Amino acid sequence: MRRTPAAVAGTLLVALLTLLVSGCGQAPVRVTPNDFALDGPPRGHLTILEKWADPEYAPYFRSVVRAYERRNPGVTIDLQAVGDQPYKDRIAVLAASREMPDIYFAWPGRYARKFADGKLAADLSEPLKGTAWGRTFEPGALNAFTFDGRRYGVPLDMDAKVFAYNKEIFAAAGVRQEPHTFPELLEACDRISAAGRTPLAFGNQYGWPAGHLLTQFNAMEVPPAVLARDYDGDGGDGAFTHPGYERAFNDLAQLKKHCMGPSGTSMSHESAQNRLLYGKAAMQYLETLEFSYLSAKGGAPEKFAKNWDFFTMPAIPGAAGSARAVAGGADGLLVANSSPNKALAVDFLKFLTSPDQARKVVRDLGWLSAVKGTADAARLKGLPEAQRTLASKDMALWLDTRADDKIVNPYLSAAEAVLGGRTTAAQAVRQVRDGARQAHRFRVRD
Amino acid sequence: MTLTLHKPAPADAPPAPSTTRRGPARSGSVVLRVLTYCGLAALAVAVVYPLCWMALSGLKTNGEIFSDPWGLPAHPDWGTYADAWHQGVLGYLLNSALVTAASVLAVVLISAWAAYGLTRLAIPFSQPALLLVLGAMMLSPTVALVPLTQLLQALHIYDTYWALIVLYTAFKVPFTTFLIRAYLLGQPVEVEEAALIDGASRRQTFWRVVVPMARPILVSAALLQALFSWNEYAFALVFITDDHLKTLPVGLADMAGRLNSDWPMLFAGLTIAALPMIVIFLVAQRHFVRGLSEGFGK
Amino acid sequence: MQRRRFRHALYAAPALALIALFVYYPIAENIRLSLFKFSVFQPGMRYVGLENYRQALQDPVFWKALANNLCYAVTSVVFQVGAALVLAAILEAVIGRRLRGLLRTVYFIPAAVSMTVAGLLFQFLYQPDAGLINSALDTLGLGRFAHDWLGDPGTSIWGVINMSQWQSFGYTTMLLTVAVQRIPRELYEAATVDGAGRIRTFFAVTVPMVREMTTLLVILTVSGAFLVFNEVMVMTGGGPSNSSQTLGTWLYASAFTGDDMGYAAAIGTVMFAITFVAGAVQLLHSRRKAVAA
Repeated sequence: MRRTPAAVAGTLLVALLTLLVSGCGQAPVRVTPNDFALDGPPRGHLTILEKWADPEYAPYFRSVVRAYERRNPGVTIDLQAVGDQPYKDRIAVLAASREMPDIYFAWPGRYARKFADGKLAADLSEPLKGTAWGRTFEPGALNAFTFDGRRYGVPLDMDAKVFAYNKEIFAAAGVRQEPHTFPELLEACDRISAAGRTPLAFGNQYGWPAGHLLTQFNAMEVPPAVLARDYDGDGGDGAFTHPGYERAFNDLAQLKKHCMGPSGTSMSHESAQNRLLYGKAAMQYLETLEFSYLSAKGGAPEKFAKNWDFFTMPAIPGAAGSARAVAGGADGLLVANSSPNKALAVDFLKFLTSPDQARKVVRDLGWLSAVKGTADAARLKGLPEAQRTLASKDMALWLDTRADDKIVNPYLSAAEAVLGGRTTAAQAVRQVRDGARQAHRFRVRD
Repeated sequence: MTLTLHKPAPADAPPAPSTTRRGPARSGSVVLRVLTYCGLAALAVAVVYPLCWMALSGLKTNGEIFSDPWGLPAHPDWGTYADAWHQGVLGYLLNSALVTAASVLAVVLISAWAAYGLTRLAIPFSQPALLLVLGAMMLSPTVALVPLTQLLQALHIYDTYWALIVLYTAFKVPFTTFLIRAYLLGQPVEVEEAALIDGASRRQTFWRVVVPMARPILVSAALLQALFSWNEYAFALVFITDDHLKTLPVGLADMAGRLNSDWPMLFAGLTIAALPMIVIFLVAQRHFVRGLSEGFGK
Repeated sequence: MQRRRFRHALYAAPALALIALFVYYPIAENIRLSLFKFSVFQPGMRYVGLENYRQALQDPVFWKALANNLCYAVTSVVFQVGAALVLAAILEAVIGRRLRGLLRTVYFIPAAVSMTVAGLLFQFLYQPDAGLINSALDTLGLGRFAHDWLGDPGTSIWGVINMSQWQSFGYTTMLLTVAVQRIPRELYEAATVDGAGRIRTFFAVTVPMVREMTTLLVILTVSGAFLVFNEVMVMTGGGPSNSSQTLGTWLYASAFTGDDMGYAAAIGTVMFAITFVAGAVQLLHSRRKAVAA
């Protein structure tokens, strides 16, 4: 072979050009009418990509897939689980090449919306809206995946933010009952402070804990329609002008002043939790997903594990928003719009969210299922009560997953500044509005 | 400044034996000398201790690491190393080895051809071509993650070994060509000409004369490329998502996330990952320094 | 004759093809993409001119990242060039041949370890409660300086920078000893005859005689510092609160988390411009050297 380099160069170039040319012809996206009815017994192959790769969660998902395959011998399922960040990267790449798995994970709000807007997720309104299956879900969880009135996601679990408190400290400080209004909460804090304890353990190192508080306050201070317009839009001049937003920042400042004690809030949420567990603080604002850490099995001291309870954020007098709002979220699964097996995918999702499986989620994973009336299966203290409480509440989706990143970042830094006493509520709102203007100006979509 | 400055000695001159330079070394006081030795020893400890600690911690239990981080393992547990090996480190290691070997071969071969062509042969547009190759040294394609993603997808090599092999090769061809070219420029042409006169083809001359002659710099280039490919992270993170194809740097970072708080297992995995390159460098150090001193000397 | 010349050109063809497709094209394409807004989730792109660059000017995280890269560059030059040169000179001047080789090898070892391994190891060393660093401070009676090094926005980037010095100084020391060895011995002898002290000799002989290598290293270190990615991703992921973002990690986050691909391309172009200037200096420098040789 006299022409070794020549041959290699030639082959390389030809190969690259062929690949380039073939890459340009993308497979067209199928736009068949959504037909979710199976004709005959379930048959075919499904691919699933999700993000529950942790050793505590992965076995459950493997077992449910196996159970479905055993039940339907004509079905094979390829289940892949990856970590949070790898999931985001991988699904973005698959989206870019428009080769979506049949069923895939989505965080609620803006994240899921991208798939809906990009026609990557199937509109599941037909099987979910006004159907028996649809009615089995908590409406708040379902709404987290509903855009422009269409349902795109099947919620699996849900999560809500509550005040967990140490009953002993409450009693010792003379706080006889759970506060019913925000001023009562502040008053309880004052009593606990006077008794020599920190009322509320609060660690805002990573910024989101303040974001969760503002999610809650905004939902109570601002009418839902206004909130939806501001959160779901892409900013601009009129956004975040309702006076409720400033009141919400004021609520945060009040809570800081009365409840968070003299020390800073720069520790992590997890370190702050230790203050609650070891009796140094009376309360922490935490997620129902964290209830397992409050149990003796989850590492809490026996003394605390037996002696805690929780309440949701009490109503704020004179507020213009929803008094029943509770900050929270849900995780869901979407079906690919391009999937040739949509009916099979929906059938599997029905199996996954059947009462039996949902009870398993509650029992084995310690999650709050998005399926109603399942928390009685819980081994964890607090979950059944949480499900009952949430049934009468409106879920306010996390601000940081619902709004544009370009608004969230200035929002969280404004919150941090308010907590640090560096800015007033009025200045904080101005900062948010500036952020909203920027977000609109530099928006990705037209 | 009473001294006149000279150009550095030419590359092919043998380095002066260090024993001739006793002057400055002997003029210092004993105290200063001892202090210097202590300082250098302390630095060596600071450099090596964390690595030894990492290897030792792979033999401890989680409790020991937390309660007595400085202590030796009470009951060295080699099982942790075996577990880490089977927990995915083996797979990552094989992927890294494959990608590294392929890109080392490719980069050395392609760069040697290019350097040979650009120094020894009459090529049309050789000046612009040279500029194009060496100019690419100034460019760092890591800044172009977005178009590279699109390009690899269009080529259908996204999420395959090829993505990394091709990129690692392409990005280091300019520098490797630069090194080899500089070396060839310092070597006599006469041997090659004699071979050609004796009837050898260009191809034979390249393989039988040029490659053996350039061996020191080829070894150094191969070592540098191996170090780069073995440790590269950004492309491996963005362009590989399949866990079965991940190379060590990304696989280990993933594993750290997965293991959560099983520190001994993590440290065992890290040690296994670090060992091959350390061993290769301890073995090949002499060649590496020699090749570099000749390559960079130009 | 012409035919043979073109056949000869094929020796350079694979290199040229690879470089054209995977180096020049992506960088040129990146500049073009930086003029658009687009998402991976939706087809279509919107031309926005220089808006992405204006966005960078008004993005506090971009400025924080740039400042972090600058800190990185300055620290790396001080340690990996300045201190490494002093170290190389000491090794050459004071230490016997055997020991010198050993020390040089020992100092080099971390450079053979990947940034991921070093980063994960140091992540543990920096741990607030069990990490060796706080534990050492405690033992030395300096417990009040113990700190959540990577968790505090004020120190997170410095934790990463320090690790990087540990990992890299041995590599530059190795290269600098190579350069120091090539200094003609007569120069040192002349300096001694002139009665120059050791420090004076260092500045009068060593520093000027290795200028070519130090210039090269300064450029490599500076452009490396502006491309830094691996160690930040592994140790802090850019957090807490974006306090340790660098341009590289912010590019990644903007592209794959923020789904603002055009903005990511613009950040990439800024990085390209900075490293291009450093690289151009390097090329001019090596060309001048080639002419002088």
